[in-house]
Amino acid sequence: MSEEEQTQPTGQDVKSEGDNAPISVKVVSSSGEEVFFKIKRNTKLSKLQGAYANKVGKDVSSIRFLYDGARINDEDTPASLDMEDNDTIDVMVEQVGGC
Amino acid sequence: MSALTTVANTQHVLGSTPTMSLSKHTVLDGHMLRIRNIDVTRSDLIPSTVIDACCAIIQEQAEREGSIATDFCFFSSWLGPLVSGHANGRSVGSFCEHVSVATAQGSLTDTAKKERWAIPLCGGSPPYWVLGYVDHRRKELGVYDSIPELESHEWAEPLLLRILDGIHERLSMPGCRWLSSEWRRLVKSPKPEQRQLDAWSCGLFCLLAAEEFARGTGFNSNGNNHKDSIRTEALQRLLCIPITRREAEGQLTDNEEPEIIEHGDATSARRGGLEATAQAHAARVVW
Repeated sequence: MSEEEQTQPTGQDVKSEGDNAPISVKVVSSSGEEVFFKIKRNTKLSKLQGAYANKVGKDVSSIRFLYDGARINDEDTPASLDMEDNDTIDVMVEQVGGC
Repeated sequence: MSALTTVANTQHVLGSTPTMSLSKHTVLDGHMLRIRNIDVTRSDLIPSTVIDACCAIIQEQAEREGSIATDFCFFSSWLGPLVSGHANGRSVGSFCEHVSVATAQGSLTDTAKKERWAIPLCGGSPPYWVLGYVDHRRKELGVYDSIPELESHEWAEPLLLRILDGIHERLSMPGCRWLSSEWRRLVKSPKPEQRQLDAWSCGLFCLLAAEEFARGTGFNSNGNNHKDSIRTEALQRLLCIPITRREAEGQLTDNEEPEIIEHGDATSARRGGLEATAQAHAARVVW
């Protein structure tokens, strides 16, 4: 089965997407909690970051996202980082003190 | 930094918020401040990344220019969460990694030669920054606390000692009997009129303490009057950090929203917009 066929989720949105085919990405918090995303390879990871922050109820500015130990920039995409299907993004929540 | 600037000029915002009616029974949330229509929350306060970066820059400047003492080093604020089990090495870097990068060359031998160490510590409830330090030559360790009335040394000193034991072990240095009479254990703070008077600037005081620690001049000279200057210096320092990554050229991007999917069902999940927010609630997520 080709990659294109594998990533066509339903019949209603069937079309060839080539290099922009969605991949599955796992976001793992420092305590091991996992959230799974499906994201197109050319979609900015800032979208995923926002969705994750919304999901866990934190301000996105207080969260750092790391891929292969390096911080993910807002402009990065799965394609620009050469991410592959089922890759993992690690999450680090900033320590913030204000008294 | 813009939010920080806003907060700096509004120490008494809570009391002047026009939409808030206060009774003697009102309990105020010290983490939500407001001016005009701007809500400033705790996440706008100084985070660990800024504090660690500024401390690293102070140390690098000292080592490069030799303008101030070079017998010190700063360790990462993540050592605290790592020794207390509140963070794991995969996401924030391991304890050993953080110790290894404490000097410019990454040499453990160089680090072990430094007589004075300092570590920003975040803890307590509400979370609060202090600076833990040890001076091996003077056999003195302590906590710089901008509001000593909070008695943050009660959580900070045990945390500091655990970190110090971990660093000694990593550097193959003999253990120290920190609690014995040969070591002085102190709480340092600014003079009373220079202490922290607001509910947000402990991070700036921590940076202030880091500056004074680097100079080796003690902790008593500066305080509340220097918050503005330390904030400006911190911003200037951060803007001088070298850029290390190339911008992606000619990169195609689309505007599609990612979808939160069910665990273990990645290939069969429906595609769609971030109506996924709605889906997210239905999605089974492993926590």
